[in-house]
Amino acid sequence: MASATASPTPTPTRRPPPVTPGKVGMWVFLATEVMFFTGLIGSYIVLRSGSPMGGFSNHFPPGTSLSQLAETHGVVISGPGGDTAGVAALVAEAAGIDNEGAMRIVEGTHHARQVVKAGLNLADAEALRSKLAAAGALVAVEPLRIDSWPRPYRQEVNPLSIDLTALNTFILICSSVTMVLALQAIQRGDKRRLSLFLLATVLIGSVFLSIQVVEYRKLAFDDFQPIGVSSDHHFRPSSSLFGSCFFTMTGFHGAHVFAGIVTLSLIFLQSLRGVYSAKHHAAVEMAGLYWHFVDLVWIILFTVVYLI
Amino acid sequence: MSEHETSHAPYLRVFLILLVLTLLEYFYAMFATKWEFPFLLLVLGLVVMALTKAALVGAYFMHVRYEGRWVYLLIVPACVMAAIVVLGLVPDIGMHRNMTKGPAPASKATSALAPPSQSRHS
Repeated sequence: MASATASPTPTPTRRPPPVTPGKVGMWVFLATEVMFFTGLIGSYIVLRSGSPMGGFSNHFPPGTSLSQLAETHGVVISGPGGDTAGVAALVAEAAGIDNEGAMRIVEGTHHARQVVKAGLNLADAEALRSKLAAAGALVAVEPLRIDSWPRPYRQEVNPLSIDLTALNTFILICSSVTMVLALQAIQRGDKRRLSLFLLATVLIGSVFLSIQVVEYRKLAFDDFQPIGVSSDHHFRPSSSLFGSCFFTMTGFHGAHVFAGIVTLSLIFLQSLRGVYSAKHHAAVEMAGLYWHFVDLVWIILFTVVYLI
Repeated sequence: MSEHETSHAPYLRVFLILLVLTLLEYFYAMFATKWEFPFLLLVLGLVVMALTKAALVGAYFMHVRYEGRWVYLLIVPACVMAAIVVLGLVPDIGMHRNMTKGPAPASKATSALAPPSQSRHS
């Protein structure tokens, strides 16, 4: 029989759960996002690999049937020289278009080389080149080149600016660093640095989104794209399969960035009120997870859509 | 989140590695296009660098490195299911390619751009 002085049976201590329900919920949400973006990027890869050879060319709009044009040549202008109006008149005569359209082609050479006329035999192409060169234009004769998908750095079919987007990728990575430093600050109880890094994250994220908006505007409205990019000389979702894939993928990512900026702005305002502390900062951590995920997705998108 | 993570996470070192990898990707893509590397080599190099960057962001910024295995229980099935959806598209695309073999009718755009003689033949 146990005596009254025996040591009491130790009461079992409740082990804290290894992870909070909030964090599990966030990761479940991120898992759905992984499915979404894997599906999106995977579909892009499948569509690209299934795109038939000849879907894109340096002389004709995407989707043009090129079966009768394989051996043809085109005359390409890279600058009007001194006499812009004279060259435009020659372009109008050669291409069978009005002067206004010809002037747009000539002025479009400021952005990229433009096709004056395509589908010619070599002799006719050389004759037209000589005529335009005599007027001072910078022109060349090029054979028709076809591809199944617009390769990067080939301005005649791919209008995307890799330089600008590489810079934007760097900017988004910077915002991920400021976000993780914000979390580190509040884990140490430093409320001032939390607010500072949150503000930096919001601002840098906004710069990323602004650059994307500028890129969209230039692609879809401002720049006069070569005919190999689009029949209406503007790169839009309706331009080609590449166009619809590009705007769908980067658009959905941009929407995620926008949602992240709104969320982080609200958390920044809360941080100014001193809501978060070293022990209570779950919202900062959850928003950070989301923001880093958006950064991670962009790293993949940049490689798949722009560089490959 | 552990003490180890909060006190020793090498955020700035990871940032520098990400910066270097971004520059490497940029120049690799540029020179691979300029020197006409085989497409497979271009893809392989870029994908390895991109996945390394993504893994660094996941491991250090999202703290997956410091979390338990339960995270993988959520992420891996999601990736597998998404891959199944994508692979389900492959036969459709293959069938589409087979259907597009052979001469196709000329589009309006071709007719508008080609010279009259070409248009008549197409």
